[in-house]
Amino acid sequence: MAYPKVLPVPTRDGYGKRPSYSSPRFKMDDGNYRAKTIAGAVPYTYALTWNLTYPQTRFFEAWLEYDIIRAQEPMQIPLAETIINVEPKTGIPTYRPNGSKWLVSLEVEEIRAGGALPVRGSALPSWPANLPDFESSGFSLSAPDSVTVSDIEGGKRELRERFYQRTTTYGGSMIMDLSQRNEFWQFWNDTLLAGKRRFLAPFANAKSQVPLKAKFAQVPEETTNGAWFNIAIVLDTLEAPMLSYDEYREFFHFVNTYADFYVEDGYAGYWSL
Amino acid sequence: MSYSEAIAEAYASQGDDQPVIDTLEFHHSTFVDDLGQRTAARVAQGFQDWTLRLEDSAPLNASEYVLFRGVPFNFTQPSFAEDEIPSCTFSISNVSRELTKYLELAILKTEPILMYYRPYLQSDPSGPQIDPVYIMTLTAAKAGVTQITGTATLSDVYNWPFPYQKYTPSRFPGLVR
Repeated sequence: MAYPKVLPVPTRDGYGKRPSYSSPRFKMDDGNYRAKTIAGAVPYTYALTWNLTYPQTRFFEAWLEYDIIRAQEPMQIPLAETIINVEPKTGIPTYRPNGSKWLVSLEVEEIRAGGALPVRGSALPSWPANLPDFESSGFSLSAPDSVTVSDIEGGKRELRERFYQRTTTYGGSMIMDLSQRNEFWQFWNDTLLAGKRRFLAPFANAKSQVPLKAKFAQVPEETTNGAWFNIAIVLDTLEAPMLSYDEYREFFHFVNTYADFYVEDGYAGYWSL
Repeated sequence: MSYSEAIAEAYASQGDDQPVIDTLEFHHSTFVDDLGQRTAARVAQGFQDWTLRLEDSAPLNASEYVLFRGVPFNFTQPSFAEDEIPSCTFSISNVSRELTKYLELAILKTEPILMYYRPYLQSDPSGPQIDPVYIMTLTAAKAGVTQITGTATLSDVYNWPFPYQKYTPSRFPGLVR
């Protein structure tokens, strides 16, 4: 059902978008997770809010009642310079007074077709170059403890390495404009098959950007940030961004040999010290 | 009962190119469509409908592509343990009340409802990835406002005679002296 012309578009305040279904994940002993891939279409939940005058509120109510048949039929809503085809998730919107107007909130769901399955053996997709870097303000990294320590008191503690590969969890929030945001959701939905596919995420390791194998650990959540979008993401990567052994030896040699001459002067070659 | 190599690999590695589609099909002689033709209730787990081909030995629409409706359901595969009949529990969304009408028809007869479980791979709709498919008998079903929950059992294999061969005189005349 087409959107009535007398109604304004939903407001930025109170807007939210996230995929409605995150498929089950199973924790492995080495700290990695294995996620069950869902086949086919992907559902998205939108939290929408309208700022309506009194007559518009009454009209909105009647539109849901008679044209959307008590909030059971699909409807079209203009959002972010496009029109989304959605179905209501809740039967009744919530109403809150806002000065002389009403804030009307409704949750709706969109089902988007899934992406094409990747060709077996094809290379992992890369993080699109237009999208922001990972290591921005508010990012965090955490990793499970990679050593096993004896847990009986009264004696010298024993220690051994538990596993070699460390799963590192990265959390962060990115600010994107409209085109970046559209590209992000297309990448997440189509290329990554709703976040289930691994991809190469660029992380810095003090020398250069290294592509790390990463996978979305949770569904991304979108909110507005003025005219921009905030997208909160959580990734699992297979290794923390770390210098390789060769790079470390090279760095060690460089610092030990030339430290007296160059490092004091602030010169460190291509090493960003 | 054996899984295809492709689905065994998908289960073991959870690769990103082989998502599994779980499907359930319910059979009963009272299930008829609007034209009075025998039909079956077919559901696929997920958010979209799938057109998938049934195996050659299917009781209805054998070797044909049929529509499985995308419906939320939970299903645990039957476990195989000693001294226990393999059984599984399932719950299917009943908000659309499509299954309720079939169950109401079925309770008028004592004939059991059969439940077929077939896993498919998204990359291969041409047949289930298991041969033969799981055929289970509904032993209990309960329809609520939002869900139908039930239990299904595999055939009671523990009561089958083993060895199954019967050495009768008609088959082996040399046994008679």
